[in-house]
Order: sequence, then C-alpha cells, then structure tokens
Amino acid sequence: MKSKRQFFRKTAESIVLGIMLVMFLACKKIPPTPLIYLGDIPEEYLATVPYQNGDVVKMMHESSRLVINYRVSRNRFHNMSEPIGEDYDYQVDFTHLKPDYPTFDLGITLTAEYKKYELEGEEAPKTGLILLKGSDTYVPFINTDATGYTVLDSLEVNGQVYYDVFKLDCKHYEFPPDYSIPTHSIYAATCYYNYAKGFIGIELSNNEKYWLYEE
Amino acid sequence: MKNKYLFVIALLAVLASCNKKDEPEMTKYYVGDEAKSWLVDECKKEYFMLDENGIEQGIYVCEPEVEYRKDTTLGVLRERIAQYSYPDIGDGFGVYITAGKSNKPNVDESFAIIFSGCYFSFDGYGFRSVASESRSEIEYTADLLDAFEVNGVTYHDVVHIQQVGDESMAGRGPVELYYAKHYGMIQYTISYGITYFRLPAE
Repeated sequence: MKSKRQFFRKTAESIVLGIMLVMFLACKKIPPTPLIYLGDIPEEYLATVPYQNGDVVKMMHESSRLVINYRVSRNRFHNMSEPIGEDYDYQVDFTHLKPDYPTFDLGITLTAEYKKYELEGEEAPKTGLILLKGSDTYVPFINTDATGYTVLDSLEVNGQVYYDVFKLDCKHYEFPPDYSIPTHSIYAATCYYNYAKGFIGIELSNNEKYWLYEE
Repeated sequence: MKNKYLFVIALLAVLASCNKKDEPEMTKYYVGDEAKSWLVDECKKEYFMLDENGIEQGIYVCEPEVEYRKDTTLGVLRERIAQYSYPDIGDGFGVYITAGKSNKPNVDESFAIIFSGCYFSFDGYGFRSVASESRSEIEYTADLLDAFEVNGVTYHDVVHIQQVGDESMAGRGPVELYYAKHYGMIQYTISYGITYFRLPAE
C-alpha cells in the first residue's frame, strides 16, 4: 500500500516538474528576428512611372468626350513583411491618380527585390502592380507576373502619337459568392501604358473607353 | 452509496433550475408581404445605371438579411430585413424594413433608405429624415409617386426624396433619390450634381 502511494507521489512530482520546465522554457526570451532591408527601388523601376506629385492628368471618356482630371499623388515609404524567422523592410513607391468625377481611381505600386520574396514563399510585394477599375495588371519587364501583353510601335490618341505602348490585358477581380465584396461585371479589361506618359488609354468590359487627353 | 448518487443528482437538478431565468413570453412581429415589396426582387445580381455623360455603373444587390430584435421591456420580438446594394464606384446603400415601431410594435412596418450618410425613414407616422452628424443641417422632403418613368420604363409606387433649402448644402449629401417597389433605386442625383438613370433590364 505504502509503495503504491510512493509511486503516485513520485509520478505527481514528475508531472509538476515537467510543467515547471515547460513554463520556464516558454518564458525564455526569443531572440529578436533580424531585420533585412531589401534595398532601394532600382532607378530603372522608378523610371517606368512618369508621374510626379501634384501632376494633373486628363483622360477623355470616348463617347461623351467628357474630360476627367486625375490629380496625382506619389509617395515613398517603408513597409514590413514578416516571413517566419525574418523581418523584411522594403521600400514602396505608390502613385495614386484620383479623378475629379465619380469614376475609378488608378494606382501603380513599385517595390524592390520582388524575386527574393518569391523564393521565401511569402506573398510578394507586387512591384509594378497597376490598379484599375475592378482589375489589375503589371508594368511589363520588371515583373514576371506580367502576362498577356503586346507592344505597339505607336498609337494615335486624340491627335497625339505615342510610341512603344504596351497593350496590357487586365486580371478581373472575381470574389467567391459569399465574400463581403461582390464581383462587378464592369471592369478595366485592357490598359494602354508607356514609360514616357503612363496611362494612354483604358478599355472597360462594357466597351467604354478612356483616352489620355493632351491639349 | 446509492443515496450518495441520488443526493448528487438532486443537487445538480436544483442548480440547473436555478440557472434558468423566467423569460416572459415574447410577442413576435413579422414584416408583412406588403412591406417586403420594397425589397429588390432580383437579388444576387447587378442592375445598371447610366449617368448624363454615358458613364455606366453596375449596382450589385445582395440577398435580404433577416434578424430579430428583442425588446425585453415591451416583451416583443421584431423582425428586421436589411438589403444592401453595392455600386462598382462609391459607397454602398441599403434599405431596412422593420416590423412595427420600437415603442408601438403593432403600428405599421417602417421602411428606411440609407444612402450616403443619410437615413430616410417612413413609418406609420409619416416620413422623417436623419442625416449623419456632419450633415444634420441638410433638410429633405419625401413624397410617394404612383408612377415614374425612367428610360422608357414606368415604375409604380416610387418614393421620391429631395434635398431642400440652401443650395450651399448641395455637395454634402444625396440631392435627389427615386426608389421603386420591387426594383430599388431607379434614379438618383449625388452630391457632384450628377444624375444616374436606371437602364431597362435586358
């Protein structure tokens, strides 16, 4: 009887000691993860976006000939990404074109070192991402995700001729039926872009077109 | 030993009965079919509106959401149906249909439109509008039209809400709304002074 009681006491002591050991280890400070700076955005990336803070870009709605003024704001800031074990600090250059008419905004995001993120299996900061109405696309050549584009030697728009224009297919955002954001059927399907002028034209899925308007 | 078990069971039974509160019998009020006709019939899909410049907008109508609001003071349970709509540009809007008024649950259902920070409500006591705090100085009138035509289609039972008074208020809330039974928004003028017109269904 006595030995049985001793056995239970020893077992209980071992369990308590085990719990204390686990608690002690849990309390031990985890060393801070290293902060890895991914470097500045390369100049050749920055050169693909021709807008400056305060610029006003005019786009004309083709059928009504309504001219919409887009005011540009361009900001550079740092962002953090936290893959397991390492913190990445990366530079972001975000250009926002806000219209003075209730239609869609436009945006372009540039970041550095896209490939490094991709290797880590993390969601990569989307360098060269062009945000449009209900869809997005990429500035070609600086992002391998860019698919479905052709290069036009020249394109005439509102009396002006633009050279080396990318005709970019856009990826429509389609949300699951129960998602909080509904999927709309009118979206930017094609975007015309060049490095000298930025947005040259946008074609929507309902066949509405917006073209750069330079007087 | 047997007695011990019986004692424990009896004790648990007493404790369980102590936890139960005597809830008063709730009177339930449900939204009637007539009031439900203010909801958009064809939901989980888009309808389209065109502004004066030919710029098209898609408006996605969600399924109605039903909830029950309990008022223990009055001992009532009131059904409320909400239906939200999301334009592809700009803020969403919606309608609420509630069985009865909070203090007079047996009075007619109330119907409310929420649009751009303003709340327009119709109930057994008539129309009232409540703008958001920053827009509290904006006044509106409302009337019920038997019929109203937009792009060649005649809609029946249309609520017409219009901003009144000082023009300096324009640009700070919706200027004018037309909302039809079964169809939803058929025409509206937003703060930019731009009017959207419902396109006929294909």
